[in-house]
Amino acid sequence: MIRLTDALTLAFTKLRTRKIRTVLTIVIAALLFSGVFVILFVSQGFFQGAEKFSKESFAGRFIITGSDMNYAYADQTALMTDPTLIKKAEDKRAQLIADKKREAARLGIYYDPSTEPQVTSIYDPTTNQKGLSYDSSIAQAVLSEATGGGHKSLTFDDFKAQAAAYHPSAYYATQTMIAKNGSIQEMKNGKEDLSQSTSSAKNTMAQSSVSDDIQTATLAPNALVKLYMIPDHGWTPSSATVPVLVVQKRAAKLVNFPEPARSASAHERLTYMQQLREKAKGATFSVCYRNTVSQQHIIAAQQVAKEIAAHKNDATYQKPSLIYGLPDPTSCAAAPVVSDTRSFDEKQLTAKQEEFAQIFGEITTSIEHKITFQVVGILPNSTMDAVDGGFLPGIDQMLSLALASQTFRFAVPSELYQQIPDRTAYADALNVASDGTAQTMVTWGLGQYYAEFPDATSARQFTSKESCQFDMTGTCHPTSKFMLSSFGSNSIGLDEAKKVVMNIVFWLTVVVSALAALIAGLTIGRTIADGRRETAVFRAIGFKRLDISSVYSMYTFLLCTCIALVAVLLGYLVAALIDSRLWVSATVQAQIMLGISNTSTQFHFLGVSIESLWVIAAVFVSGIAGMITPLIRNVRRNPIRDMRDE
Amino acid sequence: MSKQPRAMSDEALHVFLGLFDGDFAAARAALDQYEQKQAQNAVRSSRPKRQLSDEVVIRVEQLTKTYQIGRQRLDVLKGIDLEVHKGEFLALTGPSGSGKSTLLQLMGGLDKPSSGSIKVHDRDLTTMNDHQISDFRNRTIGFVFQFFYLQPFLRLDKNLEVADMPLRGKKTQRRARLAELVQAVGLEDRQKHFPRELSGGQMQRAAIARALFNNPAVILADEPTGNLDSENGRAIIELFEKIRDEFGTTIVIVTHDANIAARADREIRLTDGGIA
Repeated sequence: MIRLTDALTLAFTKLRTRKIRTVLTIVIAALLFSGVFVILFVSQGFFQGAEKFSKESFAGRFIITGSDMNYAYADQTALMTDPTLIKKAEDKRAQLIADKKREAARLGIYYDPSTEPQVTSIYDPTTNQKGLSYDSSIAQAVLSEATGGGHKSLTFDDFKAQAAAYHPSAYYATQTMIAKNGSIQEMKNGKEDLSQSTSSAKNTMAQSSVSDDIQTATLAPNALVKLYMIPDHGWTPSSATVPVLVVQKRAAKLVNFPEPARSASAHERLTYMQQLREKAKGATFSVCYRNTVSQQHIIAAQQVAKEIAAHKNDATYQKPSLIYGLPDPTSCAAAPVVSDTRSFDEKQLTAKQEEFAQIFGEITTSIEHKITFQVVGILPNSTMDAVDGGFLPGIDQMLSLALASQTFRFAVPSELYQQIPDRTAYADALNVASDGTAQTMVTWGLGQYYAEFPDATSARQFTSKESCQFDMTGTCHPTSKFMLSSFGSNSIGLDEAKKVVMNIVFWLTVVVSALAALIAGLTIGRTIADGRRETAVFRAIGFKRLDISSVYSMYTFLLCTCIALVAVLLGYLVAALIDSRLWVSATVQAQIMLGISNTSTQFHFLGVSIESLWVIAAVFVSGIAGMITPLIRNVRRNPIRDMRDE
Repeated sequence: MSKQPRAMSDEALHVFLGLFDGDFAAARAALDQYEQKQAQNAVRSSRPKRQLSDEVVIRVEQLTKTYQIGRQRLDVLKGIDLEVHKGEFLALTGPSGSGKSTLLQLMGGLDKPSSGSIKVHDRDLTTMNDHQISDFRNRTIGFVFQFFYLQPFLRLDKNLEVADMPLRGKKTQRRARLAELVQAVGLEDRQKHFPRELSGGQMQRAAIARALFNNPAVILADEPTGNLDSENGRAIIELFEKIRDEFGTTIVIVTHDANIAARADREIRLTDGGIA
């Protein structure tokens, strides 16, 4: 066979013939492949950036949180409309009314059974079908009993048992702190908004699941929150304040340090983040806890005040015998009694009513607590916040979804909390819920139990094999006890996303290669066809078929080299352009989302990996694929015919 | 062989006469005038015909070549027997379609005969495989074509070196041989020129130098002057004579030109696939 240098010399002449066609081929094929390179470079940059950030954030930890699914997500319609359960609830209500009637008679007080909430309501308005009422505590108790199947809530040990097969490196458990028999209200500027008590008292149950992040706190072990803690936060164990981690938005409002405008540079935003952490250090805010009785007294005070004002000129109007006033809004105190002109009998009646209420588990004493929280850490904003709060919409959202998963919104570090010498004042306001239902409902999808895994594979296996899988009826598969999801970061999701992206890159490369092979094949085919006479002359000179093949192979190699070079260059330039436009913003957003305080870590959208070589190889494979058929045809031809055709 | 053939066949003469409406005298006068002019431009040999060597380089026996064009069968060569001697300058003449180019290509191993044999230096070309026949062409045969067939994007020196590429000759030897040849064909100052920068005569000389690169025993030239003016044509023939004299190369040339044929040691006229 002829020397490679000779083949190269002759191959160069092929590139010089039909220059426009050659250039067009290179440009079109390079454009196709450059698209693949752009995706590859940008995605690799993204994943490499995510990996870099993982070393400093939760992204490097593979933590799975599990929510108790033992009784949740059962077939709701069937349960709510189950005649047996309805009958059971109605029987219980009837029994309660009977009991209350008996006690009322014994105490000599009036009892109106119609005040007792109905256990059913219209479940399906289209068919008027009855179902258990969400407002009835009796109905909810019956439902809970039924869906629990007579079993108690799953425990930490149950979770450990389920996760053990996947060899987690650590287990953690959190608890939910939720106001008991009442609610808490933030004292903005140190003052309680007493007008809000009216709505608060009406629906305590619903209140516990509203989006206001302070209604429920997560009592979390340090291992789960230490990343978000402010170094040297300055909190010392005392009963005066409760250490707490708040989301960035709340911290900003708390210290009156508004976020920079959307047009702010990334540097300004980074500086803002650092300053916010500094400013928020040691910041405090107060909340007021009132139980339902306390809230009712406030409401009564407001209503009576209104009534008196309305009858100011009515001489016949008689004021109530017991009048409450409004407390000082900075005190979080009970509503004071302004006037009490009740007779002995009235007081006797009130005492009997209170006894009656206590018999049936109702509270009668007004309880209030003013609690002061001290900020010891800043949690990332919710992934939902990134959608509307971003300075670069789209990228923020993308990064948020890609990098972060749900984390806490209002957390108390358990180790610090335990250091408070006297926690009795917090018993009602920060009541540690033991019930799994409350946990599931109020903590934004986060479960009570956590397992940390040494790698993504084990974590992913645990999630995919053990997590609750809903069937068509919305019922959790019986073998799965927990709903599992990633916590803190989306490491597992990222890992999965990387696979998906690489899969896309692979198929895109296949499609592009096929197109490029077609284009290159047409060009190479034409070049070979145009060179038939020359091939015939070379054959006459003494070139073997293999020599001719080596010339055209070298030509293909040169053509593919040009395509690959242009494609890589073009892809790199576009990726670099994207990176230059986005990296600063992405770095800031990633730091915000992952709560990283180290500003030297950068997030780039430009990364080169071994996969790039595969795409380059695909360029050459497509060239070879395009060359084979015309070359075989060419070397098989009779050189005489080609010369005669000429 | 000593009698110079007429430039026209009888059939062509009939057509020619038709141009003069059958006026034989006028046609005769025009033809005489033409032949006189041709005689003035004739490339006449300055030397007597050479004695043929006894050594036969190419031996063709009962050679036939048939092409199948659709349903039509075309017998191009019909049992040719021919011997070409060492150092001989042989001219193959004949009207178009008589099979002379086909015979030349078969002798060069560019095509396979339908039957018969071609032996060059007693090696039967019909039994060689592609590798052997390519090697044979590269070492033993030098082809020269009417249209030169130089690579337009290679400089002259590289165009000549192409012939050495299959042999993988050493660079120094290749350079030395190149120097010899460009001097032999008078193109020393054109080595770095592209073909488009050369005249027709220069291009054909370059093609001859390429054919000579591997010092072949035989040069097969298919109408090498067909694309040249008479002066360049004469120069090319003189170059062939020089090659034959200096290197003892056997030259077989296909030509329509009677004057060139006259300068050959021997002329073989083909008519309708056979030797006339």
